[in-house]
Amino acid sequence: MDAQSIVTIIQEKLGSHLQASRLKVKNYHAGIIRLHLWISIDREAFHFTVNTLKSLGRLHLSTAMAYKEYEDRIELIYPFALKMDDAHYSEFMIIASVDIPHNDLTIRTITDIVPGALFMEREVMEMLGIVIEDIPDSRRLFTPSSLQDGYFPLRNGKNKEDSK
Amino acid sequence: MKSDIVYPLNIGPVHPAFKEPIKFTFRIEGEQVAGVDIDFGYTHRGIEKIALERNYIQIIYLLERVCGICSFSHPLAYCLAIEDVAEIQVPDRARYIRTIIGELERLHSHLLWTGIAAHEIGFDTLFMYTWNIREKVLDCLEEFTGNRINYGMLTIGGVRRDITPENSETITRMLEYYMELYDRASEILLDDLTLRARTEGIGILSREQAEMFCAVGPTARGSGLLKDVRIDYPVNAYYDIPWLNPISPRDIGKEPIGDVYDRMAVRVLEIKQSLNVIQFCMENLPEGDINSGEGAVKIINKLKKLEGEGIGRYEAPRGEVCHYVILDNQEHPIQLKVKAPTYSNGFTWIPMLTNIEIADIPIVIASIDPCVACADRMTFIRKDGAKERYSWDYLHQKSIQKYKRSANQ
Repeated sequence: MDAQSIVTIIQEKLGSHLQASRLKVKNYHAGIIRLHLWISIDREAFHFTVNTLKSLGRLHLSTAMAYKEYEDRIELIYPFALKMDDAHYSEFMIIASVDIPHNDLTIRTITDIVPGALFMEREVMEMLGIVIEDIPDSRRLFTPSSLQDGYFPLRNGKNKEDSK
Repeated sequence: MKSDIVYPLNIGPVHPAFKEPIKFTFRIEGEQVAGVDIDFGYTHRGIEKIALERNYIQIIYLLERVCGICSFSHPLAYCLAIEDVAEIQVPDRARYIRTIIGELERLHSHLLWTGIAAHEIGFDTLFMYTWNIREKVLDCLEEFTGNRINYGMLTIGGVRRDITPENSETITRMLEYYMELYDRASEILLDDLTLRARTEGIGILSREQAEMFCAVGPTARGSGLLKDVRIDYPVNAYYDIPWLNPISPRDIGKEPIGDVYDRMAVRVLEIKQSLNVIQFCMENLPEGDINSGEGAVKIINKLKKLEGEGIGRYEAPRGEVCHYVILDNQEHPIQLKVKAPTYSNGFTWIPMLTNIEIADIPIVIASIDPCVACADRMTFIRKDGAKERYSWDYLHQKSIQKYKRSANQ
């Protein structure tokens, strides 16, 4: 399957929920391509998006969520690997980002769709202070229990409330 | 044997039998494990945060320290991520050298694991044997790179050292050495009756569970999930190798059920696969440059004028390593996320460890080749609150007793 057909399928499936997308394709010899697709999604449609991606093939969460912090929001970045057929070198990356406003730092869990995301969501909760709604296990993963509540080690202080 | 008495059994957080600290709390019914809880975080060093204080070149050497055994895989994933953002072309010769070092690392990691697995079930002769033959690949790496681990071979856009004719001879001799030993070693590992008795049918992870929990590496492949970054996603020189396929227990004519034996079979077969990959790369090693020829200062100057996001993935011996970087016109990335294979595979312990016997705990924990540690002591808390402590030796002896029982049957 070529890069454009993959993007068209995803665009059709996500419809108006897809806010923006950016495609990066690197061509190797013998028709082998490396495809990275960045997509921005509404927070409300994110759960639906992950469900849709899962219905397209083997969905794997490759790494814990990266993030970008702004004055008014945190952008949470989920790097998924999706494999839609059995051919070699056909796995590609879909990097989905979601904006979460600082005044309502919540997002619905995706562990009901990708159970392997639990450790990563627990890390996001303790490191960034984003509340994952309906998470089956909300305990800390890495930080010690002696760490004071309300202190989130990976916040960079861009939000004025954090620096007080 | 099941019992009405239910008690928790803590193993961890620190134990010399494992490489890093982690805590397991088992719920024990008689001799059987009824449930397990895992507690991470005892060795969280904040490397992702430290990396944001280093420049792009210094980070390579910092990331070699994420894991001693995967000390090539982590910096490689980082370099691939940076090369993705900056669209740097890696010369063909460097792609092949990267593949060779990666496979040498896989070879020594899998030999290390087979030794640990043999030790955990009390087969110490095999442990001594595999660790003895492992020295050959470490000697080869030392001659080639200068170090047994933390090779310092990588740079952004290529590698730092070329393969000299002397290195080629050493690698060829090493390949001959292992090719000669492989049939005998694989026969012991895959056909020995007592070894099979201790590994077959225990610690089962089904294919569906492996997919659901995002398992990676030999843990996923042992369950029949054909998942291998080297074959799913173009990286290094792997896509030049026409015969490369993900390893599965089906390659030895066995339908995978995801037990300890299947995971062991995958690793044993991958030893042969690594030898073949190294041989292919040595025979087809292209001529040319090994990097862009730019010094560290030039690379940093180029990267500090860039903004963007990149991803680097590589199949480490234990499974997928993935690094995500974000650049924003600075001398260092503004974000670096590191994912090691045990982070993905850790969750699979829960189905594997449930409903097994206490004596099987060490081998099942070891079967995912964890990069974590265990404890030198454990505390049995009985229902009346009384505590009893047993050493790891006690548990190890229990495992050996079971091995001897299997051998006598």
